[in-house]
Amino acid sequence: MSRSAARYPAVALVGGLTLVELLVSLALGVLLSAGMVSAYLGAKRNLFYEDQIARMQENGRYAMRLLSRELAMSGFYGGLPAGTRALPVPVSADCSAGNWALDSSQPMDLVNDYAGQSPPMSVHLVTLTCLDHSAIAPETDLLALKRTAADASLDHGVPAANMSASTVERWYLRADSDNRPEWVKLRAADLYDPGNTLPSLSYWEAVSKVFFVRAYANDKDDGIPSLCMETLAGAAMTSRCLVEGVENLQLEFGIDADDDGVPNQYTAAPTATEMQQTVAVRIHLLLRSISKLTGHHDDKSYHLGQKVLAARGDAYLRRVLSATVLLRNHTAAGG
Amino acid sequence: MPSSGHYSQSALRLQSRGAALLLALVFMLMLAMIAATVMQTAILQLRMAGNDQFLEEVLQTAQAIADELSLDADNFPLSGQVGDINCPQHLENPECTRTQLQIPESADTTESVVLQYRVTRREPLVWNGFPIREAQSAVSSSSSFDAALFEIDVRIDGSAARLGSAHVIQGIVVRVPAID
Repeated sequence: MSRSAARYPAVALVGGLTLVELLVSLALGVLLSAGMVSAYLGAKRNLFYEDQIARMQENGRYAMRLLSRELAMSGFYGGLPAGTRALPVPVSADCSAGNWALDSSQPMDLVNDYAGQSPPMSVHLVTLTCLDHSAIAPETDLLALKRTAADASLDHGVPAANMSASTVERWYLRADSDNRPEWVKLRAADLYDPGNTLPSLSYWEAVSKVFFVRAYANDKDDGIPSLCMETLAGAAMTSRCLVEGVENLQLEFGIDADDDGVPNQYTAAPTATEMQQTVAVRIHLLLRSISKLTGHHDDKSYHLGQKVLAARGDAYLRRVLSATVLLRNHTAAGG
Repeated sequence: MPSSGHYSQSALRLQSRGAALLLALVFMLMLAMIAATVMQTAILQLRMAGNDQFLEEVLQTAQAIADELSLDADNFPLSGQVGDINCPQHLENPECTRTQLQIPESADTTESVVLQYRVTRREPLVWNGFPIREAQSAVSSSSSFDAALFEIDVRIDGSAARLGSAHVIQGIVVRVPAID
């Protein structure tokens, strides 16, 4: 304690801080709070990152499950073997000429690496005119799948338990044990008619879908790539988008050339004959985060099976998901 | 006097130490809140992935059971009528016509997951001229065979344990010599 401290105790208390002390303490304080703020910002960035990854993975899982199920079920026509199936009839806003939607002869079709500009042409030489081709993302695969619902809406005269008496017209496969099966357009309420609740009759709802990747989700300018489908909803084909953040879809077909049920090779560009011999399909999905990530630079290239996508160099996060699906219903007896 | 001065000085030091503590606590709280949100997202992710894994597993199990049942010709007795139901051994259910199904090795599920499987004879009783798919080497005229149709139905339901469920139906064609 100096003499002044003894004389003016109040001054001594405040005057403990010299300019140097003040500057040092200020500098230390700034350093400390900068550290804390950066820790906070880091944690916040981490939260955003985790959130984007979680969304992306959730979308990816959903898209994968959807496509796997659709592929595994494709070619299922109420358990009827090929050769005993219904003849196709016209559907409004059909995807192609020749009553495409209800034609059961080729339940799976592919457009490999859509080139853009013109309506997509499939491996089975079907031109898919129902799609707005300007919206399809180029260099992606289009997958067309056809089948009936997994459960009968009316099973041997008994309506399904959870079926609503909907008045919307839909297409059904009528399987009649006495006559050749046929496609009929009905309201679900009609299935309760006494003429339909016969033990010889079963009705299976028709399912026809074309999966494709679109460059936008809702508005043309939102820039969110999405997995969409053109589907037989009600009595006509309509467009619906299902999963946001799917940037690319690539498929590889496991071809069983020697008829033993095991694929001999996988190809991304099968011929029409090879499509018929397909017993398994590999799905590759490229997922992209919905929002950009500040400070992130995506300089990776991505391998979707045999296809390599060059690095985009933007601020989005990306992930590749792959799965292999056995086509249990594709090659039915006699097919 | 020096004693009071000393007292005041330590009081000041005490005060400033309290502010640092408070500030640190506020920042800790903010960081903890962020960490809690990340944890919540991660836990939700884990649950969703777990449910997906369960779904995939039960689907594969159901498929394996159906495949295993289809390998044993005894599971598809040709005597009997359309609509006959063959149930697992020792199962008492008035719906069952027979209880002869061998319990498949794949039928190994955890408790609270319900597993049901059965084989049902489908119409027609005898399908004349069923187009049978054969390997090129073993090809024969399908007109010399008739067929009996069966359906293997496997259900695995984990909804009691808040898990998913799977349902697999596999059609089976049993070749029988044609009766003309």
